[in-house]
Amino acid sequence: MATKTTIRTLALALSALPLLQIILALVLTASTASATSTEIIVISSETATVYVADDGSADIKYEIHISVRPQSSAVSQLLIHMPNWRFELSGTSVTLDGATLRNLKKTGSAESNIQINFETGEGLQPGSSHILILVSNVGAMVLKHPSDQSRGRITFSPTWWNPDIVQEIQDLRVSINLPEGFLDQAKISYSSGAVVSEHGNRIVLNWALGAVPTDTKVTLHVDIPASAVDKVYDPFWDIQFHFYQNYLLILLLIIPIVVIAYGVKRALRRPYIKPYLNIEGWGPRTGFGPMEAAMLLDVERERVAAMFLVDLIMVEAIAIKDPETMAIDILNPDHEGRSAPFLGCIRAGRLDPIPTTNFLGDLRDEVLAKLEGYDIAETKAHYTDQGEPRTSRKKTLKAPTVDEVLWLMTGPNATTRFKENSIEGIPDWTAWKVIL
Amino acid sequence: MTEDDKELYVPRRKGKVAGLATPFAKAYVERERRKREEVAHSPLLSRSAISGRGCLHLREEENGTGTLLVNGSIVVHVNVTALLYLKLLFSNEVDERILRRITSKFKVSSTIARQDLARLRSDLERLEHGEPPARGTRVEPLSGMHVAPMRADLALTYRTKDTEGKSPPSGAPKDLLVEEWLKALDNLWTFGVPHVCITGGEPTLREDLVEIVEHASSLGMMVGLLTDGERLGSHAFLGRLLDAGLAYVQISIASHDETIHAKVTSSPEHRKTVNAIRHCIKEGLPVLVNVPITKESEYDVEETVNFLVKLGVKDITVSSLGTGEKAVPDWMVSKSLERARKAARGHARIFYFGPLAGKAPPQIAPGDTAPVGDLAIGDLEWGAGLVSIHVHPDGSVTGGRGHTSVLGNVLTHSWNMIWYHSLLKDIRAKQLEGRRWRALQELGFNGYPLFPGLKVQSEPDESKENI
Repeated sequence: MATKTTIRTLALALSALPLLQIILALVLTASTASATSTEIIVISSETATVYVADDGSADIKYEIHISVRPQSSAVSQLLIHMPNWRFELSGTSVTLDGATLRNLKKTGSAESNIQINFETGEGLQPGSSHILILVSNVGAMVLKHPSDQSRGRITFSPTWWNPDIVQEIQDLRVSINLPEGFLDQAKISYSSGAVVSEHGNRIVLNWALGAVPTDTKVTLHVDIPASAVDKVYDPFWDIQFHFYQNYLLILLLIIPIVVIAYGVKRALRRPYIKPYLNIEGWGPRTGFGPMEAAMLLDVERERVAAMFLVDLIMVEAIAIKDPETMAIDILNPDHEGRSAPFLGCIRAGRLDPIPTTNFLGDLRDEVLAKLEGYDIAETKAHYTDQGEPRTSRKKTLKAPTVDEVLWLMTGPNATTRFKENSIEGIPDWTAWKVIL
Repeated sequence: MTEDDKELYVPRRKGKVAGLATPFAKAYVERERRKREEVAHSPLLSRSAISGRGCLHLREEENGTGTLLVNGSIVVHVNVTALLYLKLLFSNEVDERILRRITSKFKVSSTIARQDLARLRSDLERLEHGEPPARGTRVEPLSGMHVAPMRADLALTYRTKDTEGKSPPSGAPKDLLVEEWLKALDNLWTFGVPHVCITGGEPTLREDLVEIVEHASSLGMMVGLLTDGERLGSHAFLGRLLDAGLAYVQISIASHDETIHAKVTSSPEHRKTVNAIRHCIKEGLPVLVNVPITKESEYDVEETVNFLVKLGVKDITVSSLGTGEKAVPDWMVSKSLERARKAARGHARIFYFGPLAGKAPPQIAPGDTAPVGDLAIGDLEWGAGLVSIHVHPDGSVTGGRGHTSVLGNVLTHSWNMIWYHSLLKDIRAKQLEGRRWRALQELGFNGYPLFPGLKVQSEPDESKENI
């Protein structure tokens, strides 16, 4: 009993393990979330100064005052967002409290970020304050105006920060210095809040934006006449196309592969055999001659022999001298008609039963071979029409053809019909004594 | 900055790559799923004929060719190319897709493929309307090697009206339950059997007959029923069977004469059987009437045929009982067949149906695996083992009803074990040996006798002089 209770307790404890794991995971997740939402850096001041050059590029200078909270961990890298990708790291200068930082990296999908990496162990230590100064020349800063071709637009967004790291920029200032020599203030338009002044040989627009939440991306525009600079850049061809170039390269690599693969696939296609439908051979076999039909219809062998004789008589190849004795004269031994092979059955002026039987047996085999793939019953029905071959429906025939006579002879009532109806020009085969 | 924080700094491009790959991935997954399904499912595709209750089945055979079965009776061999066309036509694919598939698989221009598609579609429509294809040749009957028979005869029960209510004899197979029959049908469909003929005993004695017919029909099978017809006299029962998808019925009647019928069948219900024939014809259900030739019925077979013609029957089978008390010799059956043909000429078609040689079908016993031995021509009954198999009430399978060797059980054995069983292979070889089927063909047996299909006219062969 005790053992049972122990086992039950153990089982309960084991079953509770996954639950404990879940609770632990939830607690850990909650603590991680609160840690990540803690502000690490304070940007007490961020000043961006933009000097637009005649060639449409701009020198950008950031001066950022950074403090790292004492309770937080050291900051090992910072990310500064630049207006576009057209800048060189070699031409970019970054200093921290006067010391030059060299570990810079272009990052981001648009390659427009500068990642500043601090050396291991250095970084921005908790509780420390620093001044970061970044200077870089960025190309294609004056872009075509979206609606007015005669104007150019300078668009600038001072770098923003990850809201999980930085809560706000306490004092944000932006200054855009227009190209030297362009002093016609009436021809410029710009985002609200700017104080416009002239400094040296330039028009200067200053925005004192004060405290700005870090999740707010401030974007400022200044529109100037296109003639104020030597070149106005196209947003697609000069900025975005750079990225499509990479895709284009990939595409150029892929296309031949696809073409080759397609070609190979086409080449490996199977040979085309015409589609066919072959019916298992049912249906009647047509096209038999009268003697073949007679064999098929099981007409007596004697009558089939008589049919051959009639055929030979009607083409004057033979003559019956005496129907009683079946004495036969071969008149044309060189006859070449369809019944010519039957001449071989006539030996010594008589119809020889042995070769005749063999001849008719062979004929039956030939008929059966021709029936291969056809329905024998339906074929018989085809050659029988209400008990009589088709052509034998005619009661009397004047000057019948040889074929008509022979078809008449295949009918079951042929003997009676031939006896009762005199048909001109036909040998009286009903009187023959053919014995096989 | 912690590693987590760093990650937060990296802009995320959600699903860019995945977004591009998704359509391809989906297509791939779908293709693979289809492949798996094709493997798991039947090699059969079925399609209802445009008109009537007929249907077409297309089956892929082992060598990559196909067999098209029209109305369960006409067998059309199709080559690899035609098989792909027909599969796509059966799947109701649009022309452009069919042509794309064909031209991507075969070395053919789309113009030629389009012409061939039009020709095949026209041929398929001709077949559906009971006409032969416009082109195509004939092949030797029973010449194809198939992955499954064309038909399975399902003996739902060996009970008959005479034995109803009596305890079955010892050793008699136990009838499967309805669920087991449904499972058996599923298996047969998966094996590639397109056509089942429900027989018995008397299958209408099973109360679940309608459910079984309905299930087979819903799978796409062609379903026929062999019965004495007595229960089909009921409009309600016949209506339920028609609704369930019954494609044809074969009813046996021994004679036009009630007394002779009663003597032969030991059933006094001649009137019910006649009524069943009438009802089926009225409902448009194809009816095949079987007239067994016995000592009692042989002499007036013409009158029986005339009687059936008057009822409107278009297809009549004349069958022999083989051996037994009431059986008549073969020559008498042949003569009766000829007389029946003469009587029916121009009105109905007559087929021979039944064993030719005097060999009584031995009763099957479960587990009996006696060797097949030498096959007499009587063993060719209905192309058994070649075009059909017989499933007994307990699910055991034999080549034909009269065969003694159990090849396996449709519920428990693999199809390979049944269909490629050495005994069945031997039966098939012996059946085809020396073209012995020709003897049956002369009597009108066409290999697939249970549902005589369309007539196919041949092209006259006038290529050489005929004598």
